Amino acid sequence: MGKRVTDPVESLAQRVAERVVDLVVRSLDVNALVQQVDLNALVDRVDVAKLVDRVDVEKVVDRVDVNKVVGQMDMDQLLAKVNVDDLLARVDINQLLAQVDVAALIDRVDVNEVARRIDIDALVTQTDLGAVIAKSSGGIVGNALDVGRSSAVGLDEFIARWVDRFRRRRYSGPPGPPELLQPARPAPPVSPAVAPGPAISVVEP
Amino acid sequence: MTAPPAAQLNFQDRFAGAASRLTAYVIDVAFSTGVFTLAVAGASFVASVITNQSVSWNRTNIVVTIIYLLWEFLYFAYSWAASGKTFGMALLGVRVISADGAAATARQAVIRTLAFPLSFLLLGLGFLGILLQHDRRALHDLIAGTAVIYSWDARAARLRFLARDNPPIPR
Repeated sequence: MGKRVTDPVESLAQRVAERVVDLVVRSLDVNALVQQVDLNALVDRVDVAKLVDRVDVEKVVDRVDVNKVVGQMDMDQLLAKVNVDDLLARVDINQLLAQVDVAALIDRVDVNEVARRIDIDALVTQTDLGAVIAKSSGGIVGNALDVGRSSAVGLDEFIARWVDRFRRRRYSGPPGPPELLQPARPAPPVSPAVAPGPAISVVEP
Repeated sequence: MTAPPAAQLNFQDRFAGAASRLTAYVIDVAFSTGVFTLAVAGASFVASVITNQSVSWNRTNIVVTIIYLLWEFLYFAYSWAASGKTFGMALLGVRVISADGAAATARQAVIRTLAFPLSFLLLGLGFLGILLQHDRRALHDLIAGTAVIYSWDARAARLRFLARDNPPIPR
């Protein structure tokens, strides 16, 4: 008999309670309530370290699209804020160089290409290399030979140009046996400060 | 000596032109004839001392002419076979090679020497190939299978010139 009485009462009490809570919540101004809460005091009471310990950081990082984040960043602005001098000051250059495989680096360098870029004329005139060459090369006789040969080659070219002009052909310099000629290389730059030498004098017809 | 930089005009290993070859030939003829004349004069002097008679040999003598031609043959053939260049060619910086770019053989040198007069005998027409042919080969070159190239390194000459005329900056 007791159970028959208590069950309907309990059910009624439950409904009344739900209705009351519903009315209270509806009549409650949450914004006003939040304004009355001292958030700083509340945050002070939170143990952030303990909270962070409970977060699975790796799981969070896994869900971050790093490319998207980087794509949204203004790299120029970011780099402008970087103090390169400070950064370099913190780098141990010796340690860095110790880790470099110089042999492998040199293997990757096209030495011929590097040599091609050297301004030999400027090198001879502006360094002691010129003195070495001057000491090792002949004197007046050698100079006279160079000039004589230059003149002869210049005359060769003059004649060849005129002959080709008469034959209505375009002259493009003397050919040579393909077996002897190496691949054509661009002439190294000639320093404007360097005077022309005993060069081949080619007279334009 | 205002001229364009030789660095841009280094013709080493390219076919040599008419002026260089003609100049080299003139020098060779002058040199070989001079040497021969001196040798004949020396031989005449020795003969006159030994025989105690006045001996005067010159090229009007048929024997002397034959010896002269033999000497010229030896001079050119030996020079081309040994190094590809005669004295005159060495001065002008040109060299005889095989047409395929290899060094001239002794056989080619001999044939070239024997065929050389042909270029003259055809009223000089044999030399026209130097002017008109792509590879600048005269008749005697075509017969012997040879060619003439520049062996002079103009670039090196230019560097020597620069080294002489522009002393390094003192430290």
